[in-house]
Amino acid sequence: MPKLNMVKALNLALFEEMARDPDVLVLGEDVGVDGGVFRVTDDLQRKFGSQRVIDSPLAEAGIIGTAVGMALYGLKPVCEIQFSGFAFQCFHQIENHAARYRARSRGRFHCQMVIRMPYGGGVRALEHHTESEEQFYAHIPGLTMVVPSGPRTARALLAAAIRDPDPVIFFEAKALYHAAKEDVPDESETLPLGRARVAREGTDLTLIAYGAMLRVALEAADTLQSEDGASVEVLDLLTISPLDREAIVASVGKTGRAVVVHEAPRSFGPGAEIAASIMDGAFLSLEAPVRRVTAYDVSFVGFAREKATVPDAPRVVAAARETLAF
Amino acid sequence: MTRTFALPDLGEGLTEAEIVRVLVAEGDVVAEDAPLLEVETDKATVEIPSPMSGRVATIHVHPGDTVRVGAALVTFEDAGAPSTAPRAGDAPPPRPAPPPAAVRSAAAPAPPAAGPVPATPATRRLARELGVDLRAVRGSGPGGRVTDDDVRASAGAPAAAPPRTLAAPEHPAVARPLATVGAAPAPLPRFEQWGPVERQPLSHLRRTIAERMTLAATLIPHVTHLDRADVTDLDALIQRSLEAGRARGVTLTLTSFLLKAAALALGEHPRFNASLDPAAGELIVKRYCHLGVAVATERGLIVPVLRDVDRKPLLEVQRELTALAARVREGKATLEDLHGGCFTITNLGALGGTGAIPIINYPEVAILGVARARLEPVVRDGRIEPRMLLPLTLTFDHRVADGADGARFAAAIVRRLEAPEQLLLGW
Repeated sequence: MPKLNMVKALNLALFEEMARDPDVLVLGEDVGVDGGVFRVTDDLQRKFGSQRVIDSPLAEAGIIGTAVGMALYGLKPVCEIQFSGFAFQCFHQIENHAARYRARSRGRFHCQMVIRMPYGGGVRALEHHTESEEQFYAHIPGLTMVVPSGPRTARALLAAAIRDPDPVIFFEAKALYHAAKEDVPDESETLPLGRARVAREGTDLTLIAYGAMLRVALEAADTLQSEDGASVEVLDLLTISPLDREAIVASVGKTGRAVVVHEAPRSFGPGAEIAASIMDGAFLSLEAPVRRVTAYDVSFVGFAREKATVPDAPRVVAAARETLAF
Repeated sequence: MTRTFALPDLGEGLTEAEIVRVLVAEGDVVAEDAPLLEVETDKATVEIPSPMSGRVATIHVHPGDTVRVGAALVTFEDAGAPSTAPRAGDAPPPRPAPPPAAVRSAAAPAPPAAGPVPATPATRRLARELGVDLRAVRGSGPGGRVTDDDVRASAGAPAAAPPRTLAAPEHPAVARPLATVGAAPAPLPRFEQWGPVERQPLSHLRRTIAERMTLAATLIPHVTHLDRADVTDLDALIQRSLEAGRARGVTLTLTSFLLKAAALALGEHPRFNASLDPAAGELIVKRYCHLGVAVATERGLIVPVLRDVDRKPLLEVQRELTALAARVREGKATLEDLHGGCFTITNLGALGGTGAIPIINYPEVAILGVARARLEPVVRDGRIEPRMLLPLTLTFDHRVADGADGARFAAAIVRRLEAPEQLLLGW
C-alpha cells in the first residue's frame, strides 16, 4: 500500500480509469505536454496519446462545450479547469447544457463527464486563484458536487465520479495537494457519491466539514478534547450535493449541537442548507443553535489577508465552545 | 359573538377533574374536534376536543386546577372577529420589549407568556415527554431560559444536579387535604425540628389512591386466607402453548388463567361477586362478571376492568388484557376501562415476594393477591418431587363471608389452577 499525496492519488485514479475504459479521455489547458498546472495529469499523454489527453486552447467555454458534445456522443470526458475562479467563462455550458441534457431530452441523452477544478485558499495565490464557490454548483439541479478531503478519498471519489453517468463537479483543495501523504490501496477503489463519512466519533458536538476544512475540524476536535474534555464528532461530507442529510441528522440527533465549517462565504453557502436540514430532521434534539464558521461576506481579500479569512482551528474551537456552553 | 365551553360530564358519577395540560393559547384559531385540554379524572387522562371552530378568546383554567363539571374552561369568539392576539399569517404585532432586568432575574415569577417560552428544542421535547407546561416553569438559564433541570424539577423528577436549597420544586399541582373517613387524625408533629424537610403535593392519582385505600381499610373488616396452588401442569401448558399463542398474536400469561379460574369460582360462590349495602341491610349480588386487574404504572396503581370474563374464551381474555394494560400504562385508558369491576386480582409475581396481603378494592367484597410461583420440594405419594407452587392470598370482607366461606372459595380457585383442563371445560 503506497503512501501518496493528493496529486499522485488523483493521477493514479486517472491512470486507472483511462486504462479501464477506452472512452475516458482528459482535456484542458496544459494537461498534456505540461502534465497540468498542478501535475495531476502528469505522464497521461505519454501513456495514452494526444487523442485521449488533449491540450485545449485557453478557452474554458470551449473545453466544456466540446466535452458536452463528446459526452452526448458517448465518450466520458474528464475536463480540467485550471482554477475554479476561471470557471465562469464556462458556467453557461455547465448550467445550461451539461446539467440539463438528461431532463431536456427526457432521459434520451445524458452527459457522463467530470469537471475537475482546484479551489480554495491556503497557497497564497492571486485573485481568481483562491475562491471556494461550491455553492454555485451545489445549487444546480442535475449536477453532483464532490469535494474530497485527502489522497485516499480523492482517488476513490474521482473513480466513482468518472463512472457516474451524470455530470460531476469535482473540487480539489489546493491546500491539500501536497499537504499530507496517505496510504492508498493497491487495488482501485471507489466511494459512493452522496454519502458522508464519520471522520471521528463523538457524543457532545458535531463538526461538519469537507475538503480542506476537514483538517481544520479535526484539529479543533483535538483541542476541544484535550482542553475542554469535549467529545466531538467530525462529519466529512465528501459530496455537497446531493447532501447526505441522513448522516447529518443521525449525528446531530445524537449530539444535539452542530457547527458547520466551510471556506465559502457565509450567506447562502452550504452551511445554510446544512443548518436547514438539521432543523428539518433533528429539531427536537437541538440543545443550541447551529453555528457556522466560514469565510466572510467580502468579495476578495488578496493573499496578505488570506489567513484572516479562511477558517482556522481557533475560530472553530471558539464557535464550538459557544455552542457547548449555550 | 362569544361562546363559553364548560367541563362536560365525562362519565358515570364524575363530578370534577384536574387540568393536566392546556393545548391551545389565547388567540389560537382552532378547528372543531381539535385537542383543547387534557384533564385527569378519577383514574384516566382524557383529551377534551374543541366543541366548535373559532378563536380562543379566554382560557379560564390552568394546569393543576381542579374544576367541577359545568365550570367554564374556554371562551371562544368567531374566527373572523378582530383580535389583539396574533393570527396565523399576520406579521407579529409590535410588542414592548420586556425590561432587561426582569428577564435576567431568575427569581422573578414567570410572566404570563405573551410568546413562546425561551427554551431549546431539546428542552421542549423533554417537557412534552414529562407532560410539563413550559409556561408554568420558572426559567433559571441565561435570559430566563427554561433548562432541562427546571423541567425535571417541575415534573417532580430528580434534577440531574442536586438543587442548592430544599425548597419545594415548582409543581402545577395544588396541595389539598385528603377527604377523611371516621375520626380526624391527630395533627402531625413539626418534623422541621429534627431536620430539613420538603413538602411535595400529591398528584391527582396519588390522592385518589390514598383516599380509596383509607376508605376501604377503615370501613371493611379485612380477613385473609392463605393458600398455595400446584401450577406445575398449568405452567407446562403455558410454556407448551407460547409458540402457538404467538402465532395468533397473543402472549399467554398466568394472569389470564387466573382471571378464568376466578370467574368460574365466583360463579360457584356468588357472595364474593357482590357489594354490601349497609344502609339497606342487603347484599347486592352481581349477575355479571367484570374483573379488575391491578396494573402498576409510573403514575401509580390503576385497576382496569375486563368485562364478562366468564363468557369469554381464554385467548380473548388474554388479548383484551394485553391491550388494556398497554392503554393504562400509556395513560390512554378511558373511564369505561376503569369502572364496574366485581372482584380484583393483583399479581405481583413479576416482582417476586412470597406473598402479599392486598386491601380490598372498595366496594368489592374480595381481592386475590398472587406472588411468584417457585419450584419447591413437595411430598407426593411418599416421595419428594420438585413442584411449581403459586402462593395465593384471598382477602375478603368479613361482614359478607366467614373464614370457612373464604377457604372454600380459595379452594375453588386452586382446584382449577391445579387441573387446567377444567378451565377448558368451564367447570
